[in-house]
Amino acid sequence: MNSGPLILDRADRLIRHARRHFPRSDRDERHCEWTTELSAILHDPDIRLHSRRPVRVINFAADHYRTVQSVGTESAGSLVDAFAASTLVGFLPAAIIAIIAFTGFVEVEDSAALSSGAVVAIYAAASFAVALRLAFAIFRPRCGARKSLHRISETAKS
Amino acid sequence: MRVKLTNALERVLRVFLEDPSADRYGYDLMKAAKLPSGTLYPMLARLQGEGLATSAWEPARADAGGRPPRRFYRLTGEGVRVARLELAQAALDSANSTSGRRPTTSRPVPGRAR
Repeated sequence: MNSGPLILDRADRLIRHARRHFPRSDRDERHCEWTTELSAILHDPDIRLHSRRPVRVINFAADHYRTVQSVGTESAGSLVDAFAASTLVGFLPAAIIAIIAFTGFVEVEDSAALSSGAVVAIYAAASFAVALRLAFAIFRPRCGARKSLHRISETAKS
Repeated sequence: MRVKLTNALERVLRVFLEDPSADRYGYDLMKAAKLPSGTLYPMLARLQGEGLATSAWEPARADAGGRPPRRFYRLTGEGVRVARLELAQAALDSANSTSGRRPTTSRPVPGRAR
C-alpha cells in the first residue's frame, strides 16, 4: 500500500494548523513554502532508507507545529497573569461581598444596601465571565497540541 | 550590526558562506546545517527581518515536474560581512578559551619600539 498521499495529507494538516499562528498576510506564503518541501522530502534520494522518508515528512511538519505552539505557550504567560489578576481583583472579593449581602451574615435593613449588593453580584458575574474566557484562551492551545502530538506519534508508528 | 551567534545560527551562516552567491532553499539548508525545520525557518525569518538575508520565489519552470515554486534564500552584502565577522570572532573566542588565555587587545605598550 502506498502511504505517500496519506502522509502528505497528515503533514499538510499540521502545517495548516501551524500557519494559523502567523499573520494573515504571511499565511499563504508560509504554507506554500513549507508544503513544497513535503513531497521533496518524501522523494528525497539522499534518504536511502525508504521507510524513513514518511517519518521525515511528519517530523518536518510537526517541528513547525511544535515551534509555533511553544511560542503560543510563551505568549499565554501574559494571559495567565491576566487570569490571576482578574480572579483576585474582580471575581473573588465581589463574590464574597455578594454572598455576605444575600445570605444574611450581615443584617440588611434598607433597599439601598440590597441594590448595592445586586450591583456587586453583577460585577462578580462579569469578572467570572472574563476569568472563564481567559482560562479558555490559556488552556485550549495546550489541549490541541497534546491531541496533535498523539496523532503524530500514531502516524509515525503506522 | 551584531547578531547573537547561537550554535544553530553559526551552522546556517557557515552553509551560506560556502557560496554566498548561491540561492539556497529551506530543505537544502536543513540538510546542510543539520537543523530541524522549526529551528531553521524562524531563523531565516529573523535574518530577513534584520536585513541580513533576502528571499525570492523560484520562477516557474517547465522541468519542475509540477512541483510548486520554492522560496530561495541568500545573504545580503551586509549579511555576508556580518556573518564573516561573527564567525571570525567566534573562532577567536573559541581559540582563546581552549588555550586558557584571555583575549588580547592591540594596545601599544609604553616604552616599546614601534
